[in-house]
Amino acid sequence: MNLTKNLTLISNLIHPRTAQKGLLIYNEVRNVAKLSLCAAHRIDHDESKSLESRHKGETQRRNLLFDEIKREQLSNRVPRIEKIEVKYKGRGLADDAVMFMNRHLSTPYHCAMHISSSVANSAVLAVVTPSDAQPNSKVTAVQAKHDGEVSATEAAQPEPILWDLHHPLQYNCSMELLRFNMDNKNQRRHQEVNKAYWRTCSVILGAIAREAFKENQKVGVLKIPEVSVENGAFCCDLILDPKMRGWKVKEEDLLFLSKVARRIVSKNLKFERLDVETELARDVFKHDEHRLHTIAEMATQQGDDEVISMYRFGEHIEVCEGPLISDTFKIFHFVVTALHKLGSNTWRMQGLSLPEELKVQHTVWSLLESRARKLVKEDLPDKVESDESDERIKTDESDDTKFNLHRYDSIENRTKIRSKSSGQWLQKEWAEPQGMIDIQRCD
Amino acid sequence: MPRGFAHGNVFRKLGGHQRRLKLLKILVNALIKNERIETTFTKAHETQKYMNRLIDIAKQGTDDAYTTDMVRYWTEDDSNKRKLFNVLVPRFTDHNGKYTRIAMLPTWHMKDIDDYKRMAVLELKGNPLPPLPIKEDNPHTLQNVLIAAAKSEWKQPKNNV
Repeated sequence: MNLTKNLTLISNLIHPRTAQKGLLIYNEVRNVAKLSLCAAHRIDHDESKSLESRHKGETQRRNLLFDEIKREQLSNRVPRIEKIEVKYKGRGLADDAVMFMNRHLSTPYHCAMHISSSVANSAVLAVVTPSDAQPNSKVTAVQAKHDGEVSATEAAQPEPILWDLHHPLQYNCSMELLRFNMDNKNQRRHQEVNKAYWRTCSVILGAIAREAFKENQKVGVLKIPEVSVENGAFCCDLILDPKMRGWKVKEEDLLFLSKVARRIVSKNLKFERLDVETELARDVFKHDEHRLHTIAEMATQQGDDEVISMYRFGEHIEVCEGPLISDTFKIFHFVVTALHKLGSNTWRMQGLSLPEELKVQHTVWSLLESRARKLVKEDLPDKVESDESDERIKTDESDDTKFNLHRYDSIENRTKIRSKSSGQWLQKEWAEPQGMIDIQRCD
Repeated sequence: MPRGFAHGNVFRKLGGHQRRLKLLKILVNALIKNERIETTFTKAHETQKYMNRLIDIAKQGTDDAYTTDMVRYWTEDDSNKRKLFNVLVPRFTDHNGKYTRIAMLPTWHMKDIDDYKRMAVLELKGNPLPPLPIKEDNPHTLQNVLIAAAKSEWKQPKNNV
């Protein structure tokens, strides 16, 4: 390997004072090299486990392509290892640090590991501000064209970019880490973190839809709409089989879906990000019409860049713009609360979730959960509201019976497992789903 | 918190009616004068109610007979009385009820009798002293945003039905 040769050279050059730091970096790079070597083996191993997955050949093809693209990018970008300067901005003056990391290899997570494991584990997102005026940052270039004098000051202070925690850094920068619970003065940072969390949860909803339904049913994810947190639920638009038109969603189905969600979340999957060109992205999602449509939309929005971000967690690959949280380990509550019918075949799946740091008491949770059952109408046109007469009747019925918090048994409460001896809730274990949702049963 | 709170017994006894009122008068006056005092938690928690009530009464104006009576009883000096009407009442015109704040201190070990007392700091809000490191609620975190949205929706009148 070229990498290992370079590493030996570097290790000779390292000054004895920085030997300890150098060792850490060396280990990190070696791990990356190992990963790229073992990628092909790992896929086979993963695939043998999941016999239940629908369209097995298709998912395998996608994952292989994803790995291939990733390997190609690594080999193109890292012919030899270059160093970049990363300035970490901590909470106090004592926490600040300057690190020399590897370009296109080391991520914000690696930087955080150099400081402490608690910082690394509590971090959700990174904010990266490039320290030099970069050629690829177009914002500053455009500003320079418009007005002469102001541009000089603005170019000196480039805009901060939200960066995924497991996405490698590309240039000299100063870095800041965001958590779920920070100082209460910076409202904007909190909003960004909350948005990213809501987005990841709706991406996971799409994965649930692919896993939960049986093979003979055609299920497609139409789009993943971005709704604000104030609505009380995140959502994901699905296209189900035309046979399922008359399906009336029962409580058992929701319970089953949230158990499937629990199965995905409890695997502690990492979100891997990959920036690719539009043609490559179209190649990955060859057979998925809706994904192709979203790719075209994103390409028109971005215009000149023609770079599309894909995320992979486990087997699932999703086209998604904007940052996601680092991994599913941080999710604590997760529940699918409703499945509403929008049009003839389109359905809207809704859910509610909270991270481990911000878990709430069970009565508060049941209050939030009961609110999350209502249809989110933020991004829908007004026409759709008139179409769904069935939904309205349902909501009216629930109003008539008078919602009682004390009698309400939340979905999460029914997926919990309690210990036989003490009756205490075992927080790390959840009930597992059995079987899949079938059309014949639904009709 | 005292044990009687759960059974409807809201006040601490603090050694009898006369002694209790004497003690509370001293503490309330000290609070008006210094704006921040350091006592045990029980005394601080007790004086907090009386301080809030006194400012509420003083807000009604000097013309009322009841307010003049109460203020004369609870303030020792003329200077404290003047401070109450001229400084504190205009400071808290926009506030609603909560004029004071309590912060906990480490427990105090009395070696001679081998007992502990919980210490606390009681202060008036908006005082000119350097701020205490009190951890306040964070309204911008995810779960608090959700709860606030649910609350506002619940308070709205229901137009659909």
